[in-house]
Amino acid sequence: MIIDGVEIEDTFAEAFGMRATRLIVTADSAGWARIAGETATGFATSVIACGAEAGIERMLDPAETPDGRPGIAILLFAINREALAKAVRDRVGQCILTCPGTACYAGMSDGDPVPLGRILRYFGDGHQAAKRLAGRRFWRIPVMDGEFLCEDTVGQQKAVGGGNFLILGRGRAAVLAAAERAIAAMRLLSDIIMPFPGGIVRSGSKLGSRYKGLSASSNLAYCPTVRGVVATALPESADAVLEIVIDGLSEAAIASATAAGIRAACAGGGGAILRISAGNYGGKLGAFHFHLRKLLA
Amino acid sequence: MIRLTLKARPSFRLSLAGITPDRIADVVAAELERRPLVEGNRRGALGDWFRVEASGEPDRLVIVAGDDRLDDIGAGMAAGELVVEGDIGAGAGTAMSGGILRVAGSVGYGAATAMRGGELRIAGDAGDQLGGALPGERTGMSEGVVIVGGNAGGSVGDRMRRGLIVVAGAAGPFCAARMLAGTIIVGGALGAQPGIAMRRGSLVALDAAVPPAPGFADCGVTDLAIVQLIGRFLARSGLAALAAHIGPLRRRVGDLALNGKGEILTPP
Repeated sequence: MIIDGVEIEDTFAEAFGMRATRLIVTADSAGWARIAGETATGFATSVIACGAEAGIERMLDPAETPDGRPGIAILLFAINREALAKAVRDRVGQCILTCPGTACYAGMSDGDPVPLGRILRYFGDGHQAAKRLAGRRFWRIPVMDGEFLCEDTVGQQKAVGGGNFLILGRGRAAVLAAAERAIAAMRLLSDIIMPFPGGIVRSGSKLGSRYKGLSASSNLAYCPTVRGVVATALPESADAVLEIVIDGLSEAAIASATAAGIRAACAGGGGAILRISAGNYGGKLGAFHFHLRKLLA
Repeated sequence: MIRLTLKARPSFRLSLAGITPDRIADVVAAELERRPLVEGNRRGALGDWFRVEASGEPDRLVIVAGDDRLDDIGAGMAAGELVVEGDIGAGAGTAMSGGILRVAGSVGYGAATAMRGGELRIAGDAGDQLGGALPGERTGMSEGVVIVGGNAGGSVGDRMRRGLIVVAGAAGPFCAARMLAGTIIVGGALGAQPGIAMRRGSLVALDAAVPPAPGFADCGVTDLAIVQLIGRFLARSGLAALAAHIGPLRRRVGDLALNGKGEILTPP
């Protein structure tokens, strides 16, 4: 399969079941809502070392938020409900509660909920207060600029993490530009995040390592500087590869995002983008397989 | 829809407890006319006082031409819609747990007493003890929403445990007295001793003239996100004029005589 002169490899991305939730954070301005969102989703690229994967889903207009202020929707993913609850507690407690003027609301209500204000309320040291309004329960926690308003709990649901595709090309700048085009297209979609810096990964990994205790190591087959000494997967003239990893609230959301991202990456590559591939483990580890050619057919 | 049309003003107080949309949805008109009612100390049947017509939606009950001697309308209601096209008496929506009760006129004493859910909308005024407790009970209204378009009498939300009461007009003395939790919003003037013996909960008094509340400590003026949520709720509930008053408010905490952590929010 060829799209805009780019070869789509006959392979698939392998993804895993996760648990996810959505938080709505509001603040006095869109700028502060973004700061809160970026802080809360920082150091959340991979569950391997971060405990959770998180990212900004989109900015919200005042009309879309519960309190009529500018806001941001963030998605958090973890390997199970307990890990998700810990991530929610820690990230909201350290990054949103602390951020000037913010309030934090549940962005989903389904599923066995995880505590939000219910656990953070104790910061109020006895002066916290619950408030129930229109069927929703909130906690008001006194802080130095007024009150931190936080929903009691937030729902969570089954989700999919680890969807991905690789962009192989000639020239690091051209490959990065293609990846940026992909991210721009994918950020228009809901229910997904790309948790790595700017949505893009340069350090694709493989399972295992020659070093004891290291569960993952550099995916040498795609590293141009060692192509002469390892079994390389690079085309003859490719000298740079970037990966986009996608976490989504559903398999369909990842499928749509993958297709949109690949199409955007291929368009306007000017011949510098050579191939689109994907990362998998032979199909034995992940329950979700995203076959590139099927998605783009 | 079932329509009950009052034939004549009752001689004494007439209780309509148990005549709710959810309990009569499957009842045919003839059977409904035989439902027992009590007027004063006299027993009779519903057909003695009302003309019954049934058609269409089974979970909607309309009482045409209310009367302030009709008590306990919507008492125990759990679902459906009950509409009263006039004034009614005491105990409207008592122990109501669901559905919506709309009153086009005014209600008497003790509306929403021990209310546990649902919505009560009163276009006119409400009497004393709106959202209060049943005799001998420790807590009043424990869930649900009450919206009064006019004024309310004394002791609004007495011993209230949870839920929301909105009074677009003025409220009488002892508003939010002995309140345990929940939210009361008053658009007009407040009577004497608001929030006395209040434990927790919020009284949002949007009129500038609030009487002294000596058990409350002034905590200054703040712009609270929860108040913005309340404002949006008011706007969604058709109370845009009240919502327009929402902004930074002065917060008084009390009643300190009981080590209370309730609050009275007023314009700065």
